[in-house]
This record gives sequence, C-alpha cells and structure tokens, in this order.
Amino acid sequence: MDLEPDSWIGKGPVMPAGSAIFITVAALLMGLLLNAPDIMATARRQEAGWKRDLAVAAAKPFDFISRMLSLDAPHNAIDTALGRERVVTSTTLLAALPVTTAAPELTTTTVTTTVAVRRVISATDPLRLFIGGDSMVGQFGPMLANLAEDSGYIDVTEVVYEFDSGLTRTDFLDWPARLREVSAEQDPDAIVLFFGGNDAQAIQIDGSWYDYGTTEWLAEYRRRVGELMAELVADNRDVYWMGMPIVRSDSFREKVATMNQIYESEAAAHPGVSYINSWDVFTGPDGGFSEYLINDEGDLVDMRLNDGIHLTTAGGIRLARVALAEIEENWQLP
Amino acid sequence: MIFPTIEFALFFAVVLTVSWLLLPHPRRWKLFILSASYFFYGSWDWRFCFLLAFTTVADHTIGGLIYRRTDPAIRKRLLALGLIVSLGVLGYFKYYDFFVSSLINLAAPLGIDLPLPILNIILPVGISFFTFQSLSYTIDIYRGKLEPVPLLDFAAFVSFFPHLVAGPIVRSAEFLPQLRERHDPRRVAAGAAFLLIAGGLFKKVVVANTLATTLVDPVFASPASFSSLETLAGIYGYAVQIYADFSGYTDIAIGLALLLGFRFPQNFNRPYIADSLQDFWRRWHMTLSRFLRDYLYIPLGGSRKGTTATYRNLMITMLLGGLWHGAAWTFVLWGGLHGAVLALERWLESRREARGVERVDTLGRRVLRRVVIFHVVCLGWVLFRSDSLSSALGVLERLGSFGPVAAITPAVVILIIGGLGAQYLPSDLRLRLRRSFVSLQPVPMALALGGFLLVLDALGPEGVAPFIYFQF
Repeated sequence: MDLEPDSWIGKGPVMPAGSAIFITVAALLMGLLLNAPDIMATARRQEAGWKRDLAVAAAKPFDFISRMLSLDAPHNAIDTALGRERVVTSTTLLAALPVTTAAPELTTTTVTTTVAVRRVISATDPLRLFIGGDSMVGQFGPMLANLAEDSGYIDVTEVVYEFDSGLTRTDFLDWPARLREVSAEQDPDAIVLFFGGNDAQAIQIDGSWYDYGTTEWLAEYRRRVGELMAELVADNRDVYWMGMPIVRSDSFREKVATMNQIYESEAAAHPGVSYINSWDVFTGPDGGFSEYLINDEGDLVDMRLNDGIHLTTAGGIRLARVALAEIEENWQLP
Repeated sequence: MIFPTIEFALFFAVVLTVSWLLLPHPRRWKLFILSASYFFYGSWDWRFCFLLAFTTVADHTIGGLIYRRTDPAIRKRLLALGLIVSLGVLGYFKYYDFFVSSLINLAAPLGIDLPLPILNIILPVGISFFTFQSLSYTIDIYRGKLEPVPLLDFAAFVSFFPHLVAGPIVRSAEFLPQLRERHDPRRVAAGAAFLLIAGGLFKKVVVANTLATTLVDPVFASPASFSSLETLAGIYGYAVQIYADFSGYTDIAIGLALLLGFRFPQNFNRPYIADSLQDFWRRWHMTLSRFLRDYLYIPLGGSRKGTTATYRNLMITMLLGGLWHGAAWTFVLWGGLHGAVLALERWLESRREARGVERVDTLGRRVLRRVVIFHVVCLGWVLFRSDSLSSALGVLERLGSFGPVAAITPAVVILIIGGLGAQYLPSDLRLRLRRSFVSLQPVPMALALGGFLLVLDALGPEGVAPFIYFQF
C-alpha cells in the first residue's frame, strides 16, 4: 500500500525537529528493550572481534533490563502464538523432480574411500540423499537435487542451508547435532556437506577465543571436521564433503585453501568420506579465479555471484554434475 | 549497512541529531552530510568511494564547462564527453564482462576466437542510480534548466545517503534548490516521515522477506519440485515481493529525507491497479520512467516522428531500461516484452481512433484489462527473476504440471492477497489511516513506533536480505 501519493509527501501536520529526534530516539530505545533477547542473540552471532565485543557490551544492559522487567514477554508471546523457535531460520528446499541435463565431463581430483557395506540401489529402493551446509548450498543444493532425482535412483530427503553457519561457530548453529537429528529422522544413505564460507573466523575453545589460522584454531577445526566425519561414517553413511571453490579475494583464497587441505586430509583419514575438489572446478584458464567459465555447452557463462564466493545457478549445475558423478560411481548407479 | 538494521538505526539517529544542530551553519552541514554519506557508502566497500568521488568531480567539472561555453558545437561536444565519462564508468563496471562474454559466445560458433579478456569486475553498489543522478546535472545544465552549483553542494546531492544506493532517482534540479532553502527546524513533517519509514520496513522485513524465503526462492531455485498452483503462487509471490522490497526501500528513503528536511519525488503509486502497461509505468519506479522518458525517449524523437519511429523509440527505451537493471539477456528480454506490449497498446489505440470508435469503459472491461496487464507484468517478472531464459522457461513449463499445493501456506496466501488487495484500498481510507497516525502527539507516536518495532522483529524472518534493487 502506498500511503503517500505525491501530493501528500511532506504535507500534513508538522512538528519541531527536537520532537522528531525525541520520537526517533524514544522509539528506538523502546524497540531495543522489547526486542532485547533477539538483539543480544544477533550481537553474539557476529564474528569474534572488537565489533562483536562492542555489540554484545551495548546489548547487555538492554537485555538485562528487558528480562528483569519482563519486557521481552510480548515478543515471546508472539513467538509462541506463531509457533516459532527463534534460534535460526533455515531455508529448506524440497527434493526436486527431474530436470534434463547433460552428463558431467569435468575432471576433478577426489580422494575416495570405500564403505564396508553398501546396499543395492534400485529404482524402487533408491539411494536416500541429504544435502546440507551453509549458504554455498543455496545454488548448488537444488541443482544437485534436480540432477539426482533425474537419475531415477536417488531420492533426495532434504536440501538445507543455513546462512552464516559452519563448523566454527557451533554456538550459533550446532551442525553435528543437527546432522544427528537428520540421521535419526531421515536415515540417509549418503550425506553431502558444504561448509567453509563462514568458518574463517575466530573459534571458541573452552571459553577462550582463538583467531583464525592460529595453531589452536587449526587443531580445533581439524578436530571438529574429523569428529563429524567419524560420527557420520560410523552409522555406515556415505559422506561427500565439498571443498570450497576458489574465491576472488586473495586473503580469503588463502584461508579457503587451508580449510580445503583440512577437509581433504581428514576425508582421506576417514573411510567412507569422499572429498570433492570444488576449487579446480572453478579455476579459470590461468588457474586463478574467474567469474566466467565455459560450460558443457561450450558457452562462456557467469558462474559466480558478484561477491566472488557464491555460485550462480550455472555454477551450481557445474558443481552438482561433479558431485553426482562421484556419488554414482561410488554406488555404481546405472 | 542497510536500512532495516540496528547499525543503520543508530547511524541515522546520530545523523538526524547532528544535522539539525548544524542547520544554522550550511557549509558545516554540507561537509557533515557528505562525510556521513561517504561513511554509509564506504561501509559496503570503501574502495568504491573513489569511484563515487570521480563520477561527482567529472560531472561537476563538465557541467561547469558547458555552462561557461556559448558555442553550441563545443557545448555539444562537452555534453558528449560527459555522457562518455559517466556511461563509460557504468559500462565498464556493469557491462564489460557481460558484453565480452556475449561477443565471445557469438563468435565461437563461427570459429572465431576473440582475444578479449574477462576482467572479473566487481559491481559497485548503486552505481546505476548515482550515475543517472549525477548525469542529470550535466544534461540539465546543457538544456539551460540548471545553473552550476559549488562542488560541495553537488557532492552532497550525489552522495546523499537516503537515495544513494537504490533511489528514488532524484534529479539535480529537484534537490539542489532544496540545499539553498532555509529549512525551518520548527516545521518537520515527521509524522508523514515516520509513517513512510514504518510502512517501508513492514513491506521489506515482513512481506518481501517472508515471501522470498518461504515460497519465491525455492520455486525459482528448483521449479521442478513444484506443482502448477505452487508455481503460480511463486510468480504472484514474486510480484508482491519485488513491489514490497523496492517500494519499501524507497518509502524508507523518502521518509529519512523528510526527517532531514528534504522532499524526494514519489516512486510508486499502486502499480498493480494499472489498466494498461503505460499506466503501469506511470505507477512503477516512477523516477526511472520519467528519467528514461525525458533523457532517452523524448531525445530519440518520442512520438513526434511518426508511428514507426514511435514504436522504435519505445522499444529502444524499454530495451535499454531493461539492460539498466542488470547485465543479463533476461533483463533485455524483460525490457523487450514491455516495449512490445507498450507498442501494441499504442497500435490498438491508434487503430481505434482511426476507426472513430469510442472507448467503452465498463467495470467489467476495466477489471479484465487490469487482470491482463497484471499477468503481462507477472510474465515479465519471471524473466526478471530468472538468471537465464531456460530457467524462466523451466518456471513457466511448471504451470502445466498439476500436483499438490503444500508450499502454499496460509501465511503465503495472506501476504499475496494482502499485498495485492492493499493496492485497491480506497483513497479516503488510506487518507484516514494516514491522518490517524500523523496527528498523534510525540509521546503516543513514539510508543506506537516502539510497539511497531516489536511487531516487525517478531513477524519478520531471521536476518535481513539485501534489497533486490541494490544489485542494479
């Protein structure tokens, strides 16, 4: 509804600027108090550093007063009425129906191990596949789901991606716990995981923060990756761990490369985990980052979003073909 | 830093207070607002502040040179230089990789390997908006509609943060005179401003974000997963989402400017009640429509050079208007669709006039026209939202696949029907709603707005997605 036709803009009752400032500040203070727990959660979710410290310190008094005076009660009541659990909003896409696409022809470096027992997959008893991770799944996940369903031998149980999530900030979203739920509820034969976009930030170990790249960070991140892999394969599930693709930013590229090394070596150490090398899938002719790449049809196509990290739909399809080829080979699907 | 965030709210509270305190000192005020605007823009990527400064200085210099010259030929050459510089910057940052990749793809089947490099250029936020706004200064001086202003005034206009990244496209002739006006601190249209800001926030945070996350994004990401009715709801949902997102942004921008004492032009006027596509463009992104009309369509000849030329001019204007939105062929097709339907409307109208047939305007016909135009607009939105023609066709194909309707939740239905239905609210009801708020005293108004922030936070999805038009 456009409440302000041209003839109305700036018309009507006026007030002194002081009153306008008072209203602005008073409404903001009231909003801060009424929404304090949410604001505190948002502040805590930020990347560790002075900005987070400042935001948490600023939100603390509001959170304290809000809880003490039960000013958060209306928000909680609305949440309850709407049946909301305000921890994190996930974007869940249903499994896709068939989409016709050409077979992948890209060559990739993969470290593949074999699972002890793999059941026989058929069209009537398809492979159950779960796809999850951070926002990198946003374009890749649905494309993989489409291609997988198109094969006729794979049933995608769910595609889930959580913005700002990963394995560093388990205080924000505990992916291992989430995957335990997924395993219990969906019993997938195979799980595709895609992390790293948000993980190059300080990590919390026993209440202390350690910057990205420190010895403690590297050891803890490796432990988390390894433990998650071990837990998933212990249930006899096939795990496909997507490495991060090459990114535009020089500094972030180094971090991504380091995390990819961890994923790759941990995958090699855990039978049942396949590491998918996304990096090489998106390198340009000179081996560096390129937003535009030649697709399977021979066209030069925009594969990356403007942020130089995420994939476009075309990029999602390119990577999905690589991942699907790996799954089909491991499970010897026709 | 985007509008619906605490960071921006705190930033604005400080700017608003200091701005009115500095009012008696115009030069200090301009320096302050310029610094605040560059801080705002630099929060995305500080490097692009240099680009903004370059565009500003270039257009200001060329505008001044045009004004000082009397020889028409030299003035024309200087204008051409201004256009080349401004559109060159826009073209380089926004279109270079797109056109090079298109040329390479075009030449490849002919066996020609074009040695053109892909530069992987990052698109600066809001470049299309501030380029147009800055360019209007040079053109208006050339046309004798504007006199040069000091660089500080011009820089404050181009970078003024409420309109910097996604409009409305405010012309220099509209804004610069307001800089010279003496703003009366006792007369701020704050009620109207707060209403606009609150309405804009609701549209963006609750309507647009909810529709995007619950229906539209999944449907367009994976259309094969959805039935015909779900796909149709996804398309209608996108129509409401893009309206709520973009008009919400400009409502907030207009409101913020009003609080600072500036009046921006209206940008939306219930576009989905349009009964022709021409009417739609008088209601949708109105500041872009008039920019394209005054700086492209009319200079091309408008409708003054015969029927064929009119259709050609309409098509050129809409194709370039489409391309302005993004460097992709889907945007060009979207513009082409609008251009073709606008030309068709002209042709039907001229044929009716030639036959001397009176226009019959019954309620039934009006409703039918509105329904048809809404669906033409929705067809355009499918192209607009899809990243390739094949993706768009994939969405449209699903309209024939009947199946379950699980994705159409009550919330989605309420938002779509409410979003479209609200456009049909009678003017007097809208006026009454407005009056009931703007006539409140400061304390009740603050309480109402504080309560509104609670509702906004409680109803909106977690996190705030960037505005759709930021990418343009």
